[in-house]
Amino acid sequence: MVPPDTITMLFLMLRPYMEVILASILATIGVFMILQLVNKLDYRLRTMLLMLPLAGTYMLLATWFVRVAPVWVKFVFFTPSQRTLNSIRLGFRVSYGVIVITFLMAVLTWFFQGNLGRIILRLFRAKPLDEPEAYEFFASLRKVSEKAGVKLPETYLINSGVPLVSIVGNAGNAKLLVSVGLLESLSQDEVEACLGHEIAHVKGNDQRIRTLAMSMKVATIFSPFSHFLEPAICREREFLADKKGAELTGKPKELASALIKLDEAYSINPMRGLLYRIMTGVFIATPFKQGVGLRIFCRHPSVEERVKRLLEETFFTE
Amino acid sequence: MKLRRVRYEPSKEGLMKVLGDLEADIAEALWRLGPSSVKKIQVEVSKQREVAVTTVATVLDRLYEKGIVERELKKGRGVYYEYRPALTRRQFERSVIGGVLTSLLRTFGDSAISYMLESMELSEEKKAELRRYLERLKEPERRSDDGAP
Repeated sequence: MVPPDTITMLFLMLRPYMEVILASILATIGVFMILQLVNKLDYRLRTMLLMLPLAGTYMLLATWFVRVAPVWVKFVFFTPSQRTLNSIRLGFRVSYGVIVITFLMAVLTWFFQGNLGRIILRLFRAKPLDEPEAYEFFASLRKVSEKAGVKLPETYLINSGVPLVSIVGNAGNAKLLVSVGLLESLSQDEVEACLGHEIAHVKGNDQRIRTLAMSMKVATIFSPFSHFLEPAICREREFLADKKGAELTGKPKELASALIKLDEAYSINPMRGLLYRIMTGVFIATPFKQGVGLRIFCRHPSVEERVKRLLEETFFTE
Repeated sequence: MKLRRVRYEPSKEGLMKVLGDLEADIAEALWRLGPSSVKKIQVEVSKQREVAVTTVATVLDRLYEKGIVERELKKGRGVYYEYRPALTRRQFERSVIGGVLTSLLRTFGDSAISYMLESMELSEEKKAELRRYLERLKEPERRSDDGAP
């Protein structure tokens, strides 16, 4: 028979958490419903809205145990026995422990995301690419960076025939990764369009937003719905980067065709291995097959939707 | 040259027994062309089927991982790989046959040997030779079973 004190302790530990999680679930559902009403092309507003329940859950979690829960307990148990009191104390210690651990996890995630560039360079054994080695490519990169007002990113070459392109870091310390496969198989205009997309990520500070969202997701790891929010934020940023990138280069059709080609290549020969799994969301499109059911966890919108929007926007602006 | 990650599927036609549909076409094109860039290979493959350069590049990357093609990184006017077959068509076929035979012998042992000897009409001398060859193919497995090097 489990002693009643243990039950009290568990109850005390779990009840506040359950309330926070319930609040976060309701907030998430609410935000997703609001998103249906908001203009689907207003990516900045949509990112903000998606950030709200994440940030809210995080704040609630942080404040609940520190301020609200002890007061609530004091009112409920006027004259607790010594044993109950000890259990409650232990319960609180565990709760504080949870807060501290999730906070540490968030800090670790922040650190990991901050060093993502270095980690990816190491994992893919990417080597610096110098201007004399690829004039045309650097001409495009310079053009796009100057137009965006961003410092020319350090460029690294991934030794792979698979067409990959990615940017990590923020304006000033951005690192652009590009594979041999991309340079040899896309036309110059398509490469430039891809660069536009990547530079737009830097310009929009997407690495910071992604890091923030990821850290908050980790901090609120026990709230199931926060796992929908972070990928949703990434998807909005992708749409925004597509739009801004196309504006920078003036080549939305080329970006669309590049996306279709990359998607086709990835679907014929999907990348295998943990390396690519971990790095999902880093590349311009997802280089492995993803089940339809997993779309909500995918950090990239479907290529069909991206192409549709790119072409729609050019149609209306032309 | 040891082939990696090559699977033999007897129900398929031609080279597709061991390579994917597109992989087989691309390998064939590369054997015809000799050392060439991805774009050149794509032009050659396009004569038979419509395929994007990006797809050819991705498939070539996989052929490279399988050890069927070799490549060299070229820099200058652009960055690209020059691909060339790692082994001739004959060598490739031989290594596939070797792989399949070895796996048959290791799985079925003596019954595989006697089947092969029975199914082929050979002189006694040739049969003895073939038996010695097949026994040799079977050997590495036995040795490793005994734990000897």
